[in-house]
Amino acid sequence: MKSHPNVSLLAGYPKLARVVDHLDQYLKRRHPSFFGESATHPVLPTKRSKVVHDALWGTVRFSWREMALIDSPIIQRLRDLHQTGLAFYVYPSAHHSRFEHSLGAVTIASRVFDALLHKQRREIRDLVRSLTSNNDQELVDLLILRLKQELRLAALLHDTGHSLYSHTSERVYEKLDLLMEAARELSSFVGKEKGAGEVISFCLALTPAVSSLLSRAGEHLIGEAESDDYDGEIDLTNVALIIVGRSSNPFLQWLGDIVSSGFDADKLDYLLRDARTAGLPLTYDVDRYLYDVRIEREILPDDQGEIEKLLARIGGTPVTRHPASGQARYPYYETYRLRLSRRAMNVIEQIMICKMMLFSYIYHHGKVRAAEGILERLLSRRLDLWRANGDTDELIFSRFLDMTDAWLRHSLGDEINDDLANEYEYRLINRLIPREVYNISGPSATHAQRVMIEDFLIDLHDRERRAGVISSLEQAIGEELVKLRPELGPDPVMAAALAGVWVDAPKPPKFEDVDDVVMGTTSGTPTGPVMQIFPIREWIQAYEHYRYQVRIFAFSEYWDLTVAAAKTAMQRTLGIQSELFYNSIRRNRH
Amino acid sequence: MTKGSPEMSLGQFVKQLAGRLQEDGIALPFKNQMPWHLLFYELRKYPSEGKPQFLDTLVFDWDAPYPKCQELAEFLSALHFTASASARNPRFDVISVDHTTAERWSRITDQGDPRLKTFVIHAVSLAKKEFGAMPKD
Repeated sequence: MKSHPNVSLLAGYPKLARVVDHLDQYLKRRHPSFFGESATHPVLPTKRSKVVHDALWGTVRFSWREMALIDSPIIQRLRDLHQTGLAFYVYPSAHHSRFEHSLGAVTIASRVFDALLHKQRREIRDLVRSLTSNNDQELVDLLILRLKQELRLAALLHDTGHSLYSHTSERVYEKLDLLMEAARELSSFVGKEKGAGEVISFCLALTPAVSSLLSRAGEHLIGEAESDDYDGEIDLTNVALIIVGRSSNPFLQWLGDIVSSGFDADKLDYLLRDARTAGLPLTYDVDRYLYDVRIEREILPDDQGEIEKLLARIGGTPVTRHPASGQARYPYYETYRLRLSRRAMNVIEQIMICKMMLFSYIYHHGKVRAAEGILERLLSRRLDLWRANGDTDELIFSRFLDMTDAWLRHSLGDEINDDLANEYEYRLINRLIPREVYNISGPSATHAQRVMIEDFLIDLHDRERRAGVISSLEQAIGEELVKLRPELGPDPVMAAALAGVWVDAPKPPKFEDVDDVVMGTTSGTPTGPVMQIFPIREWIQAYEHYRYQVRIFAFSEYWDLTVAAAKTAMQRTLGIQSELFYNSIRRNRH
Repeated sequence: MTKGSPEMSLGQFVKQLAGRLQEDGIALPFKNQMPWHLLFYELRKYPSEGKPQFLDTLVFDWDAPYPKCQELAEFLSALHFTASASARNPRFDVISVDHTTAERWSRITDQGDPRLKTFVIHAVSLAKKEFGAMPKD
């Protein structure tokens, strides 16, 4: 039997290979008519393209390859994954799904590609020609169409790693050993830090199940081909790499940037879509973005040799790895990156403000955090019960692949009956979400309490200490709850769980990538990092200082009790005794 | 990973380094975080028994003109917005830690593993080189 190309690609990365294999088996088992040995879909001949009307981007066209995936369970399941999790509990119209976002990401990624081609056609032709060593113009243009198709497929598949309520479930399934280790391997494989959701999207693109579906769909095409249609071979390895912000060649790095970078198609779509569906008047000038986006020749350092290893596995056109010299401190590859010119300063500001405001209005809204927090605890509880039941990581992983948002209302699909999980489900479905009891931020502290609050807050941002700090405080609150209400039981952790008490410390929004969006040169203007041109870091810092909050939640029935318990617990753990302090951070409910 | 290497979190290590550098009058870069990333990348490569374990598992992204660690970037940002360190300059070029905090942070390893103390001394001297080479605006 001929081995699949992924076997050699992922040699030395056993967990990634295992995830690819697991996903492939899962698809074949769960959806045999699409992916099995005797698959029947697509049943009828495939139309070369179809047109879809999107609320954000208008009438858009999808190729037969894209439609084959869109019409398969891989993309259809995204219809039932809310893009903004449980935000619709606060913004009733925020019901948009990962499905429409994925289609939107394809559209805007494609428009970025077209904008680059419009402005830098000669440069793009030259770099593609250098990859083929062929001067035939037609062949080069055909390869450009192929790259566009690979880019669009990557954008389409970029969110397929999500499970129910998007990022909320990711915080639970990322704890599975298989996915945790696969994320470590993927980070090493592509030379940048990656999470569990990206592992799944990346691996899914590499499954034989996906390549077979696409091959079958291409067997019977109907309809007239248009000038920019591409029916030839595609490279699904390149698609997988673009999903995680890389590509099969450093000269094509800009394709990875379009799908996964500081100003990527994902962000360009979700910022507008999340704001619009929530009813928030936030926007940015997309036309100006497309006008100013460009690719620039830069260097890609590779001291650890991870990119070198990656390129060796992929094969293809040999690429020169330059030794460190002069200003280049580490060995490097020449590359092309997606950049915005200095003239795009206003649009960068708009995008940054949009992102900051969306965190403030939606993603970090107290009630959204409350609802998502209880869902996360519900799923964590299920995970513990499944593990206690002897379920393997693979089985639990398959459950998360099965789950979409509908599972919340129709049981979580297993035989384990648990009072606490049932209680959480009931409360979630009926929006009996916990209420804020205390709200702590940097400015809450007076001079006398400053050191203690700062130590607490800063430890929450130290990845290794974060979980310990949170669980210590929750444990202390649980102990106080048991003292005040012994009927909650002797176990402080369970007492806190029954009272719906937890400490919520969201991760602040990340803006670090923005530093790398080096302004391109325009005639007579110097290059330089964005941060030297406008006060981006000052804005972020001011925003985070005043808007970043750590909250203590409890179910309404336990609110008064938790006011007392959490105060005593914080007096013990934080060391702050002042009544005035606790009065100032307590939410007023009476 | 060195067997039996000292345990310390990234945050604790940064705090200690910041405290010691502050006491030595070395400016801590903030707006331009490249020197921090280069310092930690070099420390990661440095073979030493006293190297704390977290350095061996630190992930660097090869995506910017220099190796960049997301975990470090997140902590540096938090150091400032939690008000643990302040930028009392109009351009946020550098951050500073008040005298009492610097003194407290610089003593974090005083009672700990002596190998770690030696490593911290090496880190401080390397930081002086990296931070001293900061481009002036």
